[in-house]
Amino acid sequence: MEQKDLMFMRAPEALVEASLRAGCQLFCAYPITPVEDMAEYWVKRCGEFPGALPHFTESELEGGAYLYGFAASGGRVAFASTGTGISLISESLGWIMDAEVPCVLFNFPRAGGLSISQADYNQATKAPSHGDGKCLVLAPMGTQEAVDLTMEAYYLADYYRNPVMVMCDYTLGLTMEVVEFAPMKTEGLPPKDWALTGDRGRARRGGLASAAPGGVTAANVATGVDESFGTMSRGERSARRRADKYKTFPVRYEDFFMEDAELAVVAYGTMARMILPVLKQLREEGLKVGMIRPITLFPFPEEHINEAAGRLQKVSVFECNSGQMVEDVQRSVNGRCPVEFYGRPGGAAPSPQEIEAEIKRLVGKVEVPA
Amino acid sequence: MTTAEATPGKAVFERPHVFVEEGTPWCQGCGYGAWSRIIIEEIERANPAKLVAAADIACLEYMHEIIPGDITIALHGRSVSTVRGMKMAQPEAMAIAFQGDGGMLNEGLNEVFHAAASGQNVIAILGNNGVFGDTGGQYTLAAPLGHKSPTTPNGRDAKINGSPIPLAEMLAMIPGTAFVGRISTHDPAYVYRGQRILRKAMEASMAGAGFVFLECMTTCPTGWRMTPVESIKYHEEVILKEKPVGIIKDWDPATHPAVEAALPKLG
Ligand SMILES: Cc1ncc(C[n+]2csc(CCOP(=O)(O)OP(=O)(O)O)c2C)c(N)n1
Ligand code: SF4
Repeated sequence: MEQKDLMFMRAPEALVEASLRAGCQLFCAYPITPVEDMAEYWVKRCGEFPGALPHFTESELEGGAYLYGFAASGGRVAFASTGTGISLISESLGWIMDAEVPCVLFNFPRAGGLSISQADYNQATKAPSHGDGKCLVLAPMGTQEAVDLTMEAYYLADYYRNPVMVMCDYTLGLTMEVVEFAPMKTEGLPPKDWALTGDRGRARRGGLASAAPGGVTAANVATGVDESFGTMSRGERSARRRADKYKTFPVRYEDFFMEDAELAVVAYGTMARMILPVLKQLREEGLKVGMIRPITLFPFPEEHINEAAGRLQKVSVFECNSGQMVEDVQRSVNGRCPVEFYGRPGGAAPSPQEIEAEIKRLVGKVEVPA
Repeated sequence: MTTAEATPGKAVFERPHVFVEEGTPWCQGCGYGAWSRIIIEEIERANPAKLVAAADIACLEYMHEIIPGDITIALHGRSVSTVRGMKMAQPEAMAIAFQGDGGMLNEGLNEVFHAAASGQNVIAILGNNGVFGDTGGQYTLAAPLGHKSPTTPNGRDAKINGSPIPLAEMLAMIPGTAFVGRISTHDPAYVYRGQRILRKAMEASMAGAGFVFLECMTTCPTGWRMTPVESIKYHEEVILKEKPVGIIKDWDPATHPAVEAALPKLG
């Protein structure tokens, strides 16, 4: 099959195509809608990418272990599921974050049934696992951005030696669009000299038996038994170093009509995409409303929102859940203006009319329903 | 270092040179020390150019101090699938998973079956002492009926605790499995025999024959609340009665053909 750079395809398949082009070699996808399509697409297409394995993951728990083992031994690997599957591999993710092993995660949160949901925001951003670890979380608004962020996710994962999650949602999982594939950027990626390649010719580095031949490398230093290191244990030292690393993750967001806005809506992913046309229409009507769309959910664009809040009369957070990102927004605004919340939990999504009515209510222009 | 000398200056028995630590990290009388030694000797003999391994969080995790290759600690119950991931990334490496019976029969049972079904060329080593050694000796699903432990104070009762799972025999039934053996290393004769079984297991894996399973029957005096001497008696009289050592499924190149130069040797 020729490598077409412009394709019309469903988002989940587009993300697999992007993964293959980014050099992913093992794709752990266990059937759960819409992820089964990713597994099928991978198996159908991987033969055309040297090094990509046709393996079909037997269970999610094994997927979590493959993520760790495959990446620890130097391979490029991804896992895809809904929040359910992320829950299952959560223990492995803790291990992976501690061991600082790169991998990419695709998440299509659903509200129990088959519908849109942003109810897994806290899981992704606050506690992808037990412990202090954090994933870098990227939230695309459409298929093209999801493809671009996927390519970048592999880069960022390798660069930071950390899991990077592409946080989609069920609606995006059903979306079909024209997408373009650009080559993956690889400049500046350090060699994986920490990888457990098994090579017995080289010296054993680090670890508990540093004098031994072979190699206990960084991958198990972090997860291994704690050793004292001066006054600070090895465990504390490496945990502090990881916490510092999380602070260097890039923050990204997009502003819409924010120059002179008096009210800002904060929304991400498909919710932001649903709001955008309504916002354009309200701007035409002369309402001074804007939108801040976080692209990285972790790290959260805290400073940007705080700075904007100084110029705003009100911020309102729109989410398809009972109120999760709103806590991050409150923390970011830090009292500089009132923060409101508009939530649609349980698989619901607002209609354009409902979004319009809510924004008008917020700016004090109460719409009388027809 | 203990070295027996026949004539002055000529060593006839010494620690394998890759055995870097002065002692093993396990309790006195623990069975792991003896069979980890023969594993290291057989790794030296097979001498694969690459070796990746994972050991479960367990007493067994201390394998990472002595295995001469890239070994990581895996989550409780996840060594076999972790090593399968490592092996997929490094297909030319000998791949060994070390799991206790708690990790393999309780927490991660499905994955060892999936590994066998896959026929992937990895070696899964079960350190079977019938108990969760690391957490204080609670019985596992591998424990014999009647086994007394803190969670079976009156002895394991099938009605309450279920019956032992004949894992090695079950794995031998799966076509992807190339070799299944069971060994014990609690006395020199068993060590001698066990080492030969282990060597066959390694040969099958070096040839790329498929999934290889080795059950190492192990004493756990601490977990069993016994002295090392009592533990060996119990091991012989109770444990090995139900689980005799030997080759349960021998490697048959007709059904599991060698793959040309599957695992290169270190030059
Ligand atoms: C998910 C999880 N559950 C429980 C534990 C606690 N744990 C640590 S070691 C261990 C027992 C291991 O027993 P076994 O696998 O038989 O190996 P042994 O210690 O006997 O070598 C358990 C249950 C853990 N580390 N992780
Ligand atoms: S508790 Fe048992 S298995 Fe663990 S080191 Fe001690 S004797 Fe060995």
